[in-house]
Amino acid sequence: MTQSVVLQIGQCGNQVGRQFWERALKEHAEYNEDGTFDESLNTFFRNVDTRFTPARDLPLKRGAQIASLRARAVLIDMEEGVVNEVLSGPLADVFDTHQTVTNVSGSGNNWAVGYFTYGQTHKEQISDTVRIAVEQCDCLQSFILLHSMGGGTGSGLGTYVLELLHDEYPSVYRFVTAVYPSKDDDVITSPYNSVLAMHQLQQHADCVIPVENQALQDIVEVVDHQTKGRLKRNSAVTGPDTKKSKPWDRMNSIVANTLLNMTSSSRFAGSLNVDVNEITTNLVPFPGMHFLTCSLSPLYDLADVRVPPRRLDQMFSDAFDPSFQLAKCHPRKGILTACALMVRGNVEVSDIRRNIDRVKSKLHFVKWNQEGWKTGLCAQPPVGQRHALLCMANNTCLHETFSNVRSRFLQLYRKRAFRHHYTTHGMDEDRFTAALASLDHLLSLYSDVEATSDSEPQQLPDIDVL
Amino acid sequence: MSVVTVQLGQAGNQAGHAMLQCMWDHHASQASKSDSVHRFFRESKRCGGCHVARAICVDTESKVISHINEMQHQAPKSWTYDQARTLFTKRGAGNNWANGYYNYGRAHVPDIVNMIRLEMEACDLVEGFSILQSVAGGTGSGLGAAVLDALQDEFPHVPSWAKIIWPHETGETVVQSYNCVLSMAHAYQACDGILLFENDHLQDICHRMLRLKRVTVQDLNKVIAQQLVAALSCTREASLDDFSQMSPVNSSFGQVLREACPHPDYKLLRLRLVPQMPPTYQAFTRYEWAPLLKTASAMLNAGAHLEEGFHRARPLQNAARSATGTTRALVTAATGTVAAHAATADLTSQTPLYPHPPAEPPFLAPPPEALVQGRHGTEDNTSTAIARGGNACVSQLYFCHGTDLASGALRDVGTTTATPKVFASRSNDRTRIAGNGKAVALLSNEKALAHPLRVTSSCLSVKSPAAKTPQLAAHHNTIKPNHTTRPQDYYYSHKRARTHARPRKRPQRAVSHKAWRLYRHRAFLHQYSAYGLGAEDLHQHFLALQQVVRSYQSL
Repeated sequence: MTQSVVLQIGQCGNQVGRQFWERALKEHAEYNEDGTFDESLNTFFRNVDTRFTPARDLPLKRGAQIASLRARAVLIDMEEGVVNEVLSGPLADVFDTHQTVTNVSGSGNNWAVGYFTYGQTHKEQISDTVRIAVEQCDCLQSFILLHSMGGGTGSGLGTYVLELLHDEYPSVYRFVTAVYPSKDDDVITSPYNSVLAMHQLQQHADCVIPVENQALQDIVEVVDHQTKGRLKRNSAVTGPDTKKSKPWDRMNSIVANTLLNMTSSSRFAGSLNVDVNEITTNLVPFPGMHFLTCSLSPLYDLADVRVPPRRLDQMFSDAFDPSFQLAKCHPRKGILTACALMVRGNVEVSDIRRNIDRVKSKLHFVKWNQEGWKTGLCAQPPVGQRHALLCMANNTCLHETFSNVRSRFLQLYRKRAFRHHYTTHGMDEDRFTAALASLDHLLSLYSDVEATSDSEPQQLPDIDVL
Repeated sequence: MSVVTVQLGQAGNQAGHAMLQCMWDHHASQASKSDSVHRFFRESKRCGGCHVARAICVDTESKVISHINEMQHQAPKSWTYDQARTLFTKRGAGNNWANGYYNYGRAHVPDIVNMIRLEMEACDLVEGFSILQSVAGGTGSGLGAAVLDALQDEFPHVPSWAKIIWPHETGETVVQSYNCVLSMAHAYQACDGILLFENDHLQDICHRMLRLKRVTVQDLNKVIAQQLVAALSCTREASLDDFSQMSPVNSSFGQVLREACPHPDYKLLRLRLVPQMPPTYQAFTRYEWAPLLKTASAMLNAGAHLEEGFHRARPLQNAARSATGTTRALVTAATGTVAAHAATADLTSQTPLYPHPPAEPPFLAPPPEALVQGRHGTEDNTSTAIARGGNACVSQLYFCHGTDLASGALRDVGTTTATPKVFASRSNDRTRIAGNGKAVALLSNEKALAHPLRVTSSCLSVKSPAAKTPQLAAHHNTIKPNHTTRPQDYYYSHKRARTHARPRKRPQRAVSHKAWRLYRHRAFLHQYSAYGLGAEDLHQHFLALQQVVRSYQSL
């Protein structure tokens, strides 16, 4: 099986990463009863002998016991706080200090500081750390990057790392989970950072999963409202019970679950496998249009036995419900160019076909790709759930999200406000215009798709069958 | 006398495993292993005479192959795969035909050919290759096409028979229509016969005939396996009048393939198995040969894939007589009406294939204008043609398995276009195919086979968009500014194509333009060109497949 290396950059990235590793461990602990180090565990973890420094990999053999697990991860932050917290927390054992790249001073919410200043100074260190992680894999399939778009380290250094990976490992797939700031964000320069980072994402990423803070917050609120504290412990959203948990841990757990479900099919057996490279082939119709809307369902399961469990079909309806999306958008209003349904657990191929037939009437597919479905079946459900669905789609409803980013950028840029903070850190003035142009290009791709869909009649009059 | 099985990709390996397992279950229980077992398995000295499949497993990821190996490992006294005939990489082809064909093809086809050669050397006489692959993904379709090409180059005299698993029409992968076009065009060039298994049909069979509420992938594979075993077990050519009078030797793989595909333009095959029923019904059901054969041939005539719910439309003079003996005399009372009704204008080739019976009962008299239209034959539509004159076919081969062969005779099957051939298994081969005393598999090369192809490539006769809607043409020009050879102009010059062209009647047919539509919008093309497949190459494949569709439609 193939391996993936997770790179978590900045405060947000590392916090999401912490949830991810916690849940990944829990998932493998559930399905790996005899404590052996198997192929599926090998995807995200190494089995090492800790008597050596740095720890040495143990060979992957049938029935080999787990000695000590190390995450295939690189932790990068320009402040020490979160990384140190991770290294001293319950997950300390799965990380080595060799896997971290830290500084003390932070990026000051400035993309240019992250990209130029820290990019230059830490290039060698990051490159070496990543190379060591890569050399420990026998077949590397993908990099998964976790970072935010609003801050300085995540967006600046994060996209710098992305560019570095594109340079050094061009054939390895790069998945980016980018957390977009909410509208009422406390970082005033976040529109600049987002647009500059978007430019990089468009050039160097294979797939981007935009996640909006606001959407995650809403999901958590809805779950709280619906469940009123009767949440099952193992739902996709954790319950508010733990004292130590921070408010964003619950939001991050949604992102972590999304990533786990996305990679589940390449980790566990199933009757219709979807490897991560199939996601790019199926969901990116044109170069540059690689931003995917994601939704996860079911998000919660009630512990209360008096409430009947949610039906299987409900899961498919929920996937296209705006309140289940990881970005604030309305999937039924946008136009889909492609859609992947990745199902885990006790679901059969006939269930998928039935539900596709059912939901497709409510969705607008682009006229030239009316049947753009990709289906996957993985036998292992997430921990504590009977079945789960991850829906990834290339939907033009992201148009709205990105035009919001653009208008907030223009508000600042028209006044040339805060610009000097960027130019003094070695950034060329042209980069703003280039970034804006590339965002405009993306928006025009979306409008093109929308226009095609409107102008073409249901039946093409110009094409005939022999 | 042996057949080398080549399993390619996830679906190919799953279906191939199911097929070999089914073959083993049916034939290996007898005291002396039958010819069919020797056809697909060899005895290995290494493990003390255990049986090893004459199979090569190829995949670009490891999970499926290790899963089927694990299953064989756990089943004692069964057969195994030869680990030396297994090749898998790790990264997967990512549903990309070009990745499978160019990237993996270049790297691994020499090894695969070498494994096939070694397996052939272990046979005393190689009858042919049986290749299992799907065409929706990247491995089965792309690497599969490369393997087929190589087999044709290396072993041009060995008959090769591809079994292709055709994806659901509502989409299994987003790029399936491209992958289908590309691999079908290759397979048509490189293979001697192509047997199609449509997932939609298989699922219908599971739902409606086997009465399964939830259909798993394993169920679909089991249906494929049973149908294949019925057709690929050793049989002997039998006389049409009495099945017990059969040729003294087993008919070879090549002979069956020659009979099924008599002309290089007609290589598509479809397999039907009757009866299909849940295992619990079998103890309470008895069949006679005549109704079974009648049902099979009626299905062929109507182009249907289920034993029920289709119009038993057949040439009128035979209709009343032949329908009486059938197992389900649903439409006997009104056969004449049905035939006329079937010819009405809005009956399409999809309707006979449609899983559910039509909404209005066939007993209703059709509206008079429809009758008139049907009589004059104004519709130049495959479907109506199928409904009117029966489903024209190039060949029809009946594989009869079961008891009481002497009572079996094939007369008056209602199709005039091809003489039926009957192959029967010897009565001491107690094959319990479909669990019944008797079972008939019908392998046919028929006009309706253009239907699945049309789903992806029917759109090829293109009128110039400028002629009809100027704004549309302008739109297409803006979308592909660098497009030098405009396909619509090219096709426009095909005068014959234009005269045959008729506007489509039904909106649901819009899906049939899929690959062409994607191509015209240049969607997903960058994924393919990244591995070296340009738009021009894709265009060539479109043309090749168009030829196939046209051949079948001219039947």
